[in-house]
Amino acid sequence: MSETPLLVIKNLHASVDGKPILRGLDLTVNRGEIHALMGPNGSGKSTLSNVICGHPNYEVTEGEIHFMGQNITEMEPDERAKLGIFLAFQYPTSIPGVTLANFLLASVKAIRGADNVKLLPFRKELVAQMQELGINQDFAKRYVNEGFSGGEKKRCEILQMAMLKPALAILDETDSGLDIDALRIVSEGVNRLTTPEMGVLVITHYQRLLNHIKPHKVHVLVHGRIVQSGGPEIALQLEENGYDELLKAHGLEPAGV
Amino acid sequence: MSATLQIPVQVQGLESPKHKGAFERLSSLTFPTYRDEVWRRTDPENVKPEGQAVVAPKSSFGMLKGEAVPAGVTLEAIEKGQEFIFSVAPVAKTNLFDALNGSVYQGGAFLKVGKDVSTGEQALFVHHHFEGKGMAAPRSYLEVGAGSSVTLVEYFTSDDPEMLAIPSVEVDVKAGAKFRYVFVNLWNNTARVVPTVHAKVEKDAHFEMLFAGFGTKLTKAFFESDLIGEGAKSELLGIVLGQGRQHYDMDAQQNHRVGKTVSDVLCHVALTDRARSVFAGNILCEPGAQQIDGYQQNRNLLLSDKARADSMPRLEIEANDVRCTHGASFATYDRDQKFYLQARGLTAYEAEHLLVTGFFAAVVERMDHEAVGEWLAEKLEAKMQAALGKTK
Amino acid sequence: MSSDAALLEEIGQDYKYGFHDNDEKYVYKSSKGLTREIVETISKQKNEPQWMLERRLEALEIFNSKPMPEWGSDLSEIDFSDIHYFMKANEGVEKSWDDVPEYIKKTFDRLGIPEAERKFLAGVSAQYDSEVVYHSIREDLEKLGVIFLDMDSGLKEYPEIVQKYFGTIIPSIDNKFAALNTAVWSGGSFIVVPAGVKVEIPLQAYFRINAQNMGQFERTLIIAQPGSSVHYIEGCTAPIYASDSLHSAVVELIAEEGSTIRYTTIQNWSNNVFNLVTKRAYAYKNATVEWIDGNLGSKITMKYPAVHLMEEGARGEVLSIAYAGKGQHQDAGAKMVHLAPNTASTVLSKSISRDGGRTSYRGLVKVAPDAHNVRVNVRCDALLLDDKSRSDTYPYMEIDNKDVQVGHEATVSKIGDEQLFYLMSRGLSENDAIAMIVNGFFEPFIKELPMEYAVELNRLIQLEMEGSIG
Repeated sequence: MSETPLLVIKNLHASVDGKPILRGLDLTVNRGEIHALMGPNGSGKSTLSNVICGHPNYEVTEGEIHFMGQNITEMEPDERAKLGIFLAFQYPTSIPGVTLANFLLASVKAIRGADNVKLLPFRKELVAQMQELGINQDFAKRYVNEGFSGGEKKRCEILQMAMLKPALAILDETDSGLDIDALRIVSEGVNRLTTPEMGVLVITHYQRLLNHIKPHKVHVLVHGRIVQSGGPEIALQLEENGYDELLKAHGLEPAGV
Repeated sequence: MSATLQIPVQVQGLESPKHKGAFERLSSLTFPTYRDEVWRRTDPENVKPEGQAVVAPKSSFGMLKGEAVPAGVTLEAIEKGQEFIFSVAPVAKTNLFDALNGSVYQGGAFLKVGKDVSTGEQALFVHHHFEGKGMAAPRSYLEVGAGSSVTLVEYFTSDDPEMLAIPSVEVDVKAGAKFRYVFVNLWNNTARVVPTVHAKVEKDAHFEMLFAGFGTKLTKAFFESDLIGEGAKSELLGIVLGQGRQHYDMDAQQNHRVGKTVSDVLCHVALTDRARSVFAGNILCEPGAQQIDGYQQNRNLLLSDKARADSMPRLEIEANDVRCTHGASFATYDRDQKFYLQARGLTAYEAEHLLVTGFFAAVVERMDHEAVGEWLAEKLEAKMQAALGKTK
Repeated sequence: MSSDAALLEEIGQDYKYGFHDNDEKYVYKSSKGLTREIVETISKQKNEPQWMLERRLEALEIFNSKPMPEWGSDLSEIDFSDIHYFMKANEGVEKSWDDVPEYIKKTFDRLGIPEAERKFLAGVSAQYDSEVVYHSIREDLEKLGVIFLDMDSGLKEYPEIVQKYFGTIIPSIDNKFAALNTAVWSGGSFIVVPAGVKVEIPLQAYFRINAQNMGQFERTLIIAQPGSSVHYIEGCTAPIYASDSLHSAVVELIAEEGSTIRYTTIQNWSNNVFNLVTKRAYAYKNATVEWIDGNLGSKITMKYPAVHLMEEGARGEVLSIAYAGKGQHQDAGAKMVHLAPNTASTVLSKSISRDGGRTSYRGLVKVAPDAHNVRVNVRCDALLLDDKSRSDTYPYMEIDNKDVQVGHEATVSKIGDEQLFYLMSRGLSENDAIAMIVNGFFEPFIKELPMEYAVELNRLIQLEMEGSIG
């Protein structure tokens, strides 16, 4: 195994429509590590996940993102996906008319190479993974995310993670909109799929997901910058005290004002 | 089909270049026939001028509730603003009725609002009343200066059952201004009216027009907005109630000349008896005009077996970064709603009245101006009662 | 899925099957231009009854007297004097495939109509130029009493039926091109399904234009007798030529009480063809007519399949897709004319414009004064793939009855940024992602096609592996 860290983010500044959101963010994720990124609404959590994956609406104005030693800052989203970056979306979009099965086949072919994917094993694998995640097989024939409930969408995101076997999985507010049972199933899925070769970045507002997916490191994002890093105990403190004190400490108005 | 148009004798003021230009334009045009696409559903012979003398209106200029007109607002008869006419719509492109109006107009409003003026909860108010026989040809020029926010109600009434009216309105909404304009088409119930309203909406400006068509035997209206600056928005709201053999034909053209502009047309038409309506809308996105939002909605409430509604909500899109939608629907009263109201003790008439009121309120409320909304409701109530009373 | 992008590239590009026969082995070929003599010759060559000749001549006069339509597409490039109006490839209609001349078979092979598919077909009526050269009807269809002939044979064998119905749905005076077709028609299908007979297998026919400046004027008449049902499919492919070609068909459908007709078209004319087609159906009591209409080729298409809902309980449906690439204008739509109470219709139109292409939806919904309890639902969705292309929507709704529920909705948009990013974040290239979204956009149409025909369409839009799981 290489000593190179999986993900290195250096002094990242990013903006949307000219409005700065990330203002000098540094983060390193090594293989085998689970990182949690917490922060109040508007702190830039979702921006970070979109920027790592190369969303065209976000402009990197300064800094770099390296993945497995390669500078990916300017890469297209599909090139990043092929390198092994996966984002479980907070709000997965629907693709009318495209079945989940066909979408996943195309995606798996794109990532593993078309020659390495045979139809029969693919189907078997898909069926098995759907069973593991408690997803009805009918979903394979349904159009991607169309008419899915919030929980169904999130499970399908994890199904995609299972099929694509990324090196880095970013879970963007995967717990939002899930009831306690769905949260357990999704978390078990993530834990089952996490290998020592992988890195995981869990982005969450609340601590409850971290009861199920145990992070090695927790970072707190405020106003586009990581202001605090440490062990799981930080998440518990935040749960206790909320974000207000942190915000005040950085000269910002508490949320909801 | 004869194409010659007899010009009313009483052509006045032709010495001014604007009049002359209009007259020349008029002379270059032939009178439309029903074969012209725009006139397919309204025979132009029914609105053909026949040399009637032009009647000047009795007009009042002020505020809806009698308050003082705010500083920075000039509101008076059009004769004071002659120099501005045909500055929104170039005379060379104007339609025949607008050109005729420009040649012979008498009366109308001249509104010029300076920068950063607001009428707030209040509204400017103009009432033109036409007495006696002849042709009405009022012309209004309405200009709202940068950053201002102004509401104007222009209210048209007449006595003569035979009257032909060809009002023209030019609107210029300057950068960042908001202009609410309410055109109240309450002419005599048997008048024939061809209004033309042409608006120019500049950068970040917002033009919101409400057309209230509750009178006239025949109305053939031309509404056109040019969105010429980024951030411009044009809203056209329409409420139309047709009864008897009344005929309403509305042409709503929204031209997105530049990108990042929004148009939104919402027209609710209710028809009783043998009334007939035509809605022809068009959203035009010119090549290169990207990031356009265009909406067009025409709802028709048919309250009688003999009523007829036509709808042609068109889209002509030559840019790809757009979100344009249009819709049209036709239905009678929602039976469940009517039953629900009757089950709560309302008579059939009361239930219908309530449903039609709600049908129009949905449009008027979009304007979000309480005083004007109340005034309109009051004006329209008598027409509503007359129309609905007969459907039983 | 990588082939999707390649296929998307292909759609609307220069026609792949752009070849034509080297030596034009035509037994009879009329000179260019349209005269009374040509029409008389066509009729004589076909040994037609006198009444048909009279119909043709009457139509010719109507054609000459009617002006070119000024709405819709620009048709000024059509030079009626520069078109062959009749051509006969061989003598008589072939009895079996073996008798079909080799060079014609070769043409079909090169068009890629698969062998397996031919076997699957109920009857292949492949129109080669103006005349039907091959026609076979499966035995079981004959046993059911189903008449499935080319129109010329139909006129010979069932003159009374043809005389009774020909031109009753679309008379010559309907429009200039219907008149032209009536004057010079040749080929097309004649189908009569007897009462109560349900034809389980789709009846299929392939048409194509060949030979320079060849007009093609096929004429189709389908009569579904009470309680019967039939699904007819036509696919059109044509080789490319330097000068413009004209295709002007007339299709008349009669759906009698309680019957169902579904008429599917996959039209992929080469990019120089003017495709000006009149299609209309009369649906009587409780009958259903469905037009499934795919417009993928041609230079200009003007086609508005219509259903007249004549009696109570009739239903009409149009499901159409249109694709316009460079230099193409698809002016397509639907007409639903509700003449009776308790009738319903739906229209779903999906169009894509790309590379300077233009799609227009032009539709009519008419509800007559006595037609109460009518339901109409129209939906038009247009996708614009770049900033050079154009999309228009021209709906006409004329509602003359209050007891109706008529809804019309249309949207024009581009491919959503979020959809694109979502697919790309799963490893699909931008082109593959666009192709996938386009496939999904057309999916409501594709899933209505019979499997073997969807395969035919697959050459243009890659179909995904529907139903492959579980």
